[in-house]
Amino acid sequence: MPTAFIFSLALSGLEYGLILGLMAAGLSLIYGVMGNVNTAHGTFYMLGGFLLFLFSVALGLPVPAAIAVAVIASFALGMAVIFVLPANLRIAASADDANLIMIAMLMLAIAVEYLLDMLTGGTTLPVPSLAVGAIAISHVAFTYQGIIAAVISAAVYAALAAFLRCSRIGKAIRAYAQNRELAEALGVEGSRVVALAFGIGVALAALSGVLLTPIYGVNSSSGWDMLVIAFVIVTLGGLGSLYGSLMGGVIYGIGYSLLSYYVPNYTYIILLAAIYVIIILKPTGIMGEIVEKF
Amino acid sequence: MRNSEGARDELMVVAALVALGIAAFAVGGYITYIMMYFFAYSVFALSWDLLYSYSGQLSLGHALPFGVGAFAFALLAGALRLNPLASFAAASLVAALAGGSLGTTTLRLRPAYQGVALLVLSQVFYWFTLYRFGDEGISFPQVLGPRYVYATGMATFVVASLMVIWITNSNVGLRLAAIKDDNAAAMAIGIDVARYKILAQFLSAFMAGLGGSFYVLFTMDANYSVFSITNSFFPIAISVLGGMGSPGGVLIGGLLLTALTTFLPAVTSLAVTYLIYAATVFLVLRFYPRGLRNLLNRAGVKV
Repeated sequence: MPTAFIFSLALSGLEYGLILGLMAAGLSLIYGVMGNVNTAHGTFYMLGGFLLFLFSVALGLPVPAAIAVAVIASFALGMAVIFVLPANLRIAASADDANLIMIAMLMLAIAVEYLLDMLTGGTTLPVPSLAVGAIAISHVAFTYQGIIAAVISAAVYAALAAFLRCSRIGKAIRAYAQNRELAEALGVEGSRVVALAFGIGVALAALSGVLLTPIYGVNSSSGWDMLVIAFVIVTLGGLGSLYGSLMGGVIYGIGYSLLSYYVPNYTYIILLAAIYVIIILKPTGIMGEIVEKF
Repeated sequence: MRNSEGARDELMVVAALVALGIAAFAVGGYITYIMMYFFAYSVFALSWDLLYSYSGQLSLGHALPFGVGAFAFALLAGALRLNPLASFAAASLVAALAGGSLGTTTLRLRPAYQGVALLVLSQVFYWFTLYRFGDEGISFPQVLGPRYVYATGMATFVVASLMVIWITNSNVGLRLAAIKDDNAAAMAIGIDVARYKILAQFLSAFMAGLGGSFYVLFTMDANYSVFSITNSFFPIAISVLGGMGSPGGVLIGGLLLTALTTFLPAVTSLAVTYLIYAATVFLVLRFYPRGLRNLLNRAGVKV
């Protein structure tokens, strides 16, 4: 096996991992603020792909504009979902509340899955790409779509990090994630922060969706695997850290890319099982407990 | 907390459902199939509720023990042609072992993570069985006469219901409830929290396995879809509709969902049916969190 080939495989994994890490960062952000795993996260990935298809193919917008509209629509939808939840469930005060939100979000996700199933008849929709074509680097194909998507992901990462570190709202989100009571005492309004963080989190999932579904297509049940992948990445990278989801995403992507060459059929299963074992042995993730959130 | 009067009314619900089962058998035809579906899924729902409402452990992938029971039965009785009743018992034990030990590995995870970790595991089984056994899974000809199948279903239903009613009204049930309400306080008064959580995992997996093996006993087919998220959704939907934490309520919820499943897909479509279910459960959770149990309580039935 030539080294150049393995290097190319790893590079392709890096590309995939960067895009997935974006979605995982959204899941992590929501966990940090709300204290529960957003079980509808994969649904927003799928919705991203569907909305892109709707706006570009059905309504005829140019692809970049359709992407922007799809992501903004997902952000608005995410905020709306929070306001539909009962007030006592918006912010989980106990483990029991967190569980109830997870059940409610799961119901929402299943309702959306079957709504789209009803509308599309379960077919896989071809989502338009930003650019058509591919180049080969030592026998590994890199689509232009994938390359552009990885670059966009890296840029969004940097922007998100800057937003959380420097802006007033970003600081409020971080403060709230680190210490709820103290942040509220300083005038941070809990339900607004939760709605905003949830909106940003699901917009990141939708962004992953609009970037990846042109490569893989989208159907009404494609959200579940993405929820599983995002969850695995977040747990692998350690909770409540932007950097952790980035690292987790890259590790997952490279692992996926290398394994899919050697054991194509069972890649996903082996990878999930292996990461599961890591999570069980080290529940705080491979980088250890991260005390400061974001 | 619960008292003997509660247990009495719950036993009456079980007795009424058994009477319904006997009546359905006397009528015969398609309705016996519906009742068998009810037996399988109400036992499945009871197993989820035992884990969630009585030890505070959320499983979003409860299709795992159900599916393991289903596939174990199909392999033992269908493919290997072993004695069907022995296979039924063995398959449920395999499900208890697999579901219980995998569930136990999630004990150390944060509460919100445990549910999703189980969902991840159920997806591993979903893809594995899809690759290994293909789209069609394992089908086999009838291994047991229809009367015996029906009797097995009813016996499973009765045994599982009585087991849950007994547990929830016993000291074990009180300890489990204490663990759910306040983990730290339960530990402080000397309850071995880990031991009881593990016990709940194994018991729940065993019951889900009973439901899964029986499901395959009467449908004579096990395929990858038993591990699907939709299948994990059913016991949650039934429990929320019926009223979480109340075995009698869960059984009534199971009856309602089974009744809907018999005609909704025929007048609409499967997608619309599931859409209605998920939306209804969301609305119940939002506006009427006590579920059907509340209606029963108002009618004077203490479940």
